[in-house]
Amino acid sequence: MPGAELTETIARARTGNAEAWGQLYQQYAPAIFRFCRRALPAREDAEDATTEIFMKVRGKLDQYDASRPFTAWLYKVSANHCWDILRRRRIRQDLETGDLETLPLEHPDPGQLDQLMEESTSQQVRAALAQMPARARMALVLRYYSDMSYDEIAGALGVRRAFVGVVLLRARHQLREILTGKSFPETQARGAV
Amino acid sequence: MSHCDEMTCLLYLDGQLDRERAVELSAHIDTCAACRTLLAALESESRLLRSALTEEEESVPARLLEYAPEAKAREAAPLAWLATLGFAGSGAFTLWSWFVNPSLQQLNQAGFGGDSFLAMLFFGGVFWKGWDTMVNLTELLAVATLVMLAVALFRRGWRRTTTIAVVLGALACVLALPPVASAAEIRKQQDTLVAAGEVVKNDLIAMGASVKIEGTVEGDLIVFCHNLTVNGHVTGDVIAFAQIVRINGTVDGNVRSFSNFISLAGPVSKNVTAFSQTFELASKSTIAGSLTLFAAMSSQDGRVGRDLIGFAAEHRLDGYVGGSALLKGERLTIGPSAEIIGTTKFYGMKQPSVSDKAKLGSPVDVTIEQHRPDYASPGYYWRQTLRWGAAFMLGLVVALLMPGFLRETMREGERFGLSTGVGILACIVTPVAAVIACVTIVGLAVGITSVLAWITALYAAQIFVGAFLGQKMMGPAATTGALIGRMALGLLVIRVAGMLPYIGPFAWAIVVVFGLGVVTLAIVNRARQEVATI
Repeated sequence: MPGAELTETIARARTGNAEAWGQLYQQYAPAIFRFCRRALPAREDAEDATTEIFMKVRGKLDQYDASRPFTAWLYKVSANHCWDILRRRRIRQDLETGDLETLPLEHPDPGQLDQLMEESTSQQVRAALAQMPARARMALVLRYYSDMSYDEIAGALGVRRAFVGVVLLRARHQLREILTGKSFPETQARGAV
Repeated sequence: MSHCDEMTCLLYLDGQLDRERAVELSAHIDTCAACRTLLAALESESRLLRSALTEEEESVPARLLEYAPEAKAREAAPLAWLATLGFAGSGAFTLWSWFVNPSLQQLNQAGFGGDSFLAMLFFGGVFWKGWDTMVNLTELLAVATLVMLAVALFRRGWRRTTTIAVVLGALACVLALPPVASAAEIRKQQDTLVAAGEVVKNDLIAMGASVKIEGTVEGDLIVFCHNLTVNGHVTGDVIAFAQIVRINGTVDGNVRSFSNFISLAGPVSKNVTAFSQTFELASKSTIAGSLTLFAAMSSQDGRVGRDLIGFAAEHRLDGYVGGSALLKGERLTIGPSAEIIGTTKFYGMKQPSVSDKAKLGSPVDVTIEQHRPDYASPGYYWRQTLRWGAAFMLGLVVALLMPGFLRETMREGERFGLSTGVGILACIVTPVAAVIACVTIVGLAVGITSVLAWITALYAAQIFVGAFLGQKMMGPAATTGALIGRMALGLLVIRVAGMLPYIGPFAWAIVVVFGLGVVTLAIVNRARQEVATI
């Protein structure tokens, strides 16, 4: 949907025009579903979350600042929603607490890292992502699927702005460990937080 | 500057470093190969992550695409809707009164009626009689797999209540099936012979190159073979799938035959139904009930006790018909020995030739059918409108019951070449596969069901193409209501294109092939997704 048309559709949807809302839904539901599919462990969760997100968006449409990109706002709402779901489900506290995150990260061997990236396929990466802890996965999804800025990621994950880089880098390290087949015992259970 | 740490490199790549440090790092990597490699590796990691996350390896569930909250409530133009529904209703009524009801009556006359539709489909349950002998573990597993696949395919689209309803419905169907009778005797060999004097005190299912009955079968005779000859006596029905069928003996039940050639020369106590290239009823043969036949050439010298219903390119009638004769085809010849007690109706291309000596209850009622539609008559347009209405009615059901599936087919339509190719394949492969399923007995029910589904799909093809065309003309539909409107328009376009002289038949052929293609692709896609998630 081109910008002017989108603005107009949003404006109409705000006034309660069902057709305009339907258009917005049709346009963005697939992307939001894919976002949820990446962020949440199970497909059924993603389906339900998509529906809930759009119900939320409909209620909050008045709060949307039209000067900013609509998709960014949508992803922000989605990220908050998914993160809430994951937090509500949190069973394991261990990976949330800081002890792991204060551990220093080993500096990678540039050559080996380069080779690993050469050899990995996107399918393997997806499989590895599915095994990762929720926050690490969420951070990668926000950054590389939704193209969010560090500020936005900080807001969505509830971490300090300066900490986003650490979260992202740590997530990458976890991904590499799974890709290279190194054990990752805490998170063998899919979707552990 | 010493080597950069990984964090700094990542922040640099993400544009998070302040300008001063960025310049410094950029100067460093010009001279340091290790850092350059690290930066490149991180960059390709970013790329890999991006592509892994954004690739659309699975499609969005139909349930989500259907959902457009409250959008349906505000559909405008109730008048247009009323008119459309009116047409649709009258179309459905027309279909019923012109086609379905008379067909049912004809089927009743032909001896199919009675118990239930299911019983009719499976010829009075005769196929279920040999059930316990025929079912072995493999077959059971095959059926179970099919059922599970079907459930899995549609599970997501169904709410829990629907699923319960379906399970209950299936149970009811099972209960409606005729009870399992005594097991049939099965003979599977190159040449099967029931010798003169031999009595088979059971239903007999025979398979092989040739089957010959000289003795007696006290039950039904079900045959899959090249060459069937019955000179003896069958006390039940004869059901034959064969190249050549000759029945010279006595049959106390019905004869149902699917064959290339069939000749009857003995007495049949009930009805005869024949699908055949050539049909012959010899002069000494008598059929106490009615005769229904679909053939290229039919010649009848014997006696038919009740009605004769025939669809054949060429009819030659020189025998006795106790009831009425309804014949449809190109040519009809009524010979001097013919006697028809009831009325005689003929729908054909040419005037029938009727012998002066023939004894007819009433003169032949002839309707000559034209090759070309009568564009001048208003009736023609009225009929086209009603047919459009009938198609729309079915489309409405599809759109309301499974809008997600309809949308999926519309997406498949974008791949025109692939859809058409698949459509051509489905047109040819389905009936062939169904015949194979029938012949291997395992899948007789499956075979018949798939043929019925195939015929339905041939008709329903226009709905999917209509929706696709409508969307092409008016843009994507946000709501199911808008989708139905587009489908109505698309169906209208198809109907009009089909009315065009010369081009019409081609247009229909494309619609059928393309429609069948998109439906097949959409089903295959669903199956693939389900398999992927399992």
